Amino acid sequence: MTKLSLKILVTTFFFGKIMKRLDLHPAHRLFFTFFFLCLFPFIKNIEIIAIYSSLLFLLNTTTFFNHTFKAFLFALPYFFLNFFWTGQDYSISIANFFRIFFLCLVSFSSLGLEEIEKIFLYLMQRKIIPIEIGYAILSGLNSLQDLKQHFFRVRACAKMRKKRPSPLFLLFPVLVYSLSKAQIMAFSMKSKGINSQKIFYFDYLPTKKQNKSCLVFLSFILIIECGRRFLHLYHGTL
Amino acid sequence: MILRPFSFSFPSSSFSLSLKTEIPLTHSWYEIKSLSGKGKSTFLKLLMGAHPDFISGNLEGDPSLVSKKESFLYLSQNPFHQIIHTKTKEEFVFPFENFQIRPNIISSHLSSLPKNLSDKKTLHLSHGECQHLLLRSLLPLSPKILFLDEPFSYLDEKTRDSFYTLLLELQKNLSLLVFFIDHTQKLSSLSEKTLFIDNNSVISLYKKEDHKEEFTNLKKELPEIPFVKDFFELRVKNLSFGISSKKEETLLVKNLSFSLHSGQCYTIFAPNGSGKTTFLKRLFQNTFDSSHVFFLKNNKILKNPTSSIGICFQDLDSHFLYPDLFSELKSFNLTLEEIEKYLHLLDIPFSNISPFLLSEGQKRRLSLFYPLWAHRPILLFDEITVGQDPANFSFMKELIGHLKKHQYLILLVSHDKTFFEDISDNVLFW
Repeated sequence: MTKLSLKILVTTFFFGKIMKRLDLHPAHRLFFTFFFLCLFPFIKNIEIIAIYSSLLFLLNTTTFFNHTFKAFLFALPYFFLNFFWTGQDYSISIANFFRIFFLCLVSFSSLGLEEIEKIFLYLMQRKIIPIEIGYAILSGLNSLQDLKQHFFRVRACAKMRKKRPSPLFLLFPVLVYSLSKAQIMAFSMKSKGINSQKIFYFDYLPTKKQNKSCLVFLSFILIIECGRRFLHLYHGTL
Repeated sequence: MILRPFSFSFPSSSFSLSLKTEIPLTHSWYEIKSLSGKGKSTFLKLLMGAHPDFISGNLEGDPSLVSKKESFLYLSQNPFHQIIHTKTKEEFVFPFENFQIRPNIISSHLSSLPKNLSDKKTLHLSHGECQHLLLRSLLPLSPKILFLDEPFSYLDEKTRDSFYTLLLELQKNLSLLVFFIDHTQKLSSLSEKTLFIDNNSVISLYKKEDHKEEFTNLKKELPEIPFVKDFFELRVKNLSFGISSKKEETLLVKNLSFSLHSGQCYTIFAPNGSGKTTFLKRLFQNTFDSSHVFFLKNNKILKNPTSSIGICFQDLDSHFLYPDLFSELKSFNLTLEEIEKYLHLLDIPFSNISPFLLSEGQKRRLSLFYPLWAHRPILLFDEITVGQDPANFSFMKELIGHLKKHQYLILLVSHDKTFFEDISDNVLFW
């Protein structure tokens, strides 16, 4: 266990420091997240996931503790389930706990880090998704923060009226607000002339540097994986 | 272009809007006028062809002036809902991109965007800044038809003047067809014709000089309100605050100090985006450091001030909890008689419609009474005059005076000098 923790710490620090300097395009980052999450069931060693999650941490250290705590809370019940009810070996429970922990960590951190707006604009610029649909989703996603603020305002007004309704009840005015907002937004987009021939003033496609960073990142992962396999083969433990 | 006869009604209310005779339209500026709640905004939306995709109701005839290929621009009453992007610069260039304007022209327009606006996230923009941003991004496109629904309502005086000059230039240089609703009366001088919606919601066209306003002399009775027995005081000492961080460069207000007490009304008069609404919101939530901001009740520090503060937010839909007007008002323990009396006073028809379907002006008048019905002696009012016709405007003025006499402590945010100059004891500039 100590050896494993040490490995994770070293890789986190070392690769995190290097990767922080890489300027990955949000779409590439999303691709890697999906790639790792899809690979997750097939990876026996968790270092590789640890490296990726370390990268996500170090890209935005402020969310580090928040996401770590959340991931820990999600993984803990799984550990107890394994430990008390399956009669498995203690080390297997720990290993499974770390798997779930890193899976949650990768999901949460990438969700917190991803610039969804840029990804959608990139997909629209590449004409992967139609402009009308892309902007409809984008405006919906961008409104979530406003809806959250509206919920707090509604709650504050309810308190002013000495009412303490359940959050479920407060969702009704928020739903009405979101419907009216959606209507005005859609009409506004129409009046602003949204069409499929739209041009893009800002470039959302990956730059040469970002493409290089993507290759460097991929190479790192491959080198680590190949190196690990080579070392295990050398020691005859693979 | 001809505006053809039509009639429109909402399915769940007795409201109906109609035009009986054809109106030939020339490239000119038309002001849409009526009492608040008579369907000005609905009429504007019908002209834009919003029915049936964006407003539902029963429509006979075709009032739409916009064909599918025609370019038109629209500024909504609630500018915040028109924002799509999270970054101001992206929001600004969005209409330019749609009309495939050349990047060098976009760059020149983008460079004219004030730095304090272009650096902000759209979520942090105030209503006035949203209006400013939208006007700046829409007007340079010089569309054939322009629909403006209260375009100056949240703007500060300086910005209002600059956009007025811009519109004046547009009027001189381009032959536009413009329909506008403007309670600030700043734009009135630009139009020669008025589309007037009468009390029966029938639309007719007048020339400005022929049309005499019918609603300026309507006098209303003031409601009975309880007298505040306790003496309240608000003290602010060396207060500095920003939107989200405490960094020196992001502070909106530095070293603010003032005090006001029961029976007084103060107005905050400051440019757009200077933190007026944030200040009111934080006062209401009591999130300021108690060493800088504190309330006194009978000369003793008030431990839980939130239970004494009432607010009328800029975002009106935040006030409503129930799907129908009667349940909404009954929740304040008002009797049916009282409900009828208040609705009459507020020019809201006595029917059980949803409060969310009221006009902006009606919603604002209704939500103005919420803190009073909740028996709050400290009142925070944010831009309460937006969307009010002259009769209701003077009613609000009288109401504030009435509240002062009844020893309420009032803090207002307003851009309308004609409103607060007579009623305010002091004006806070920052």
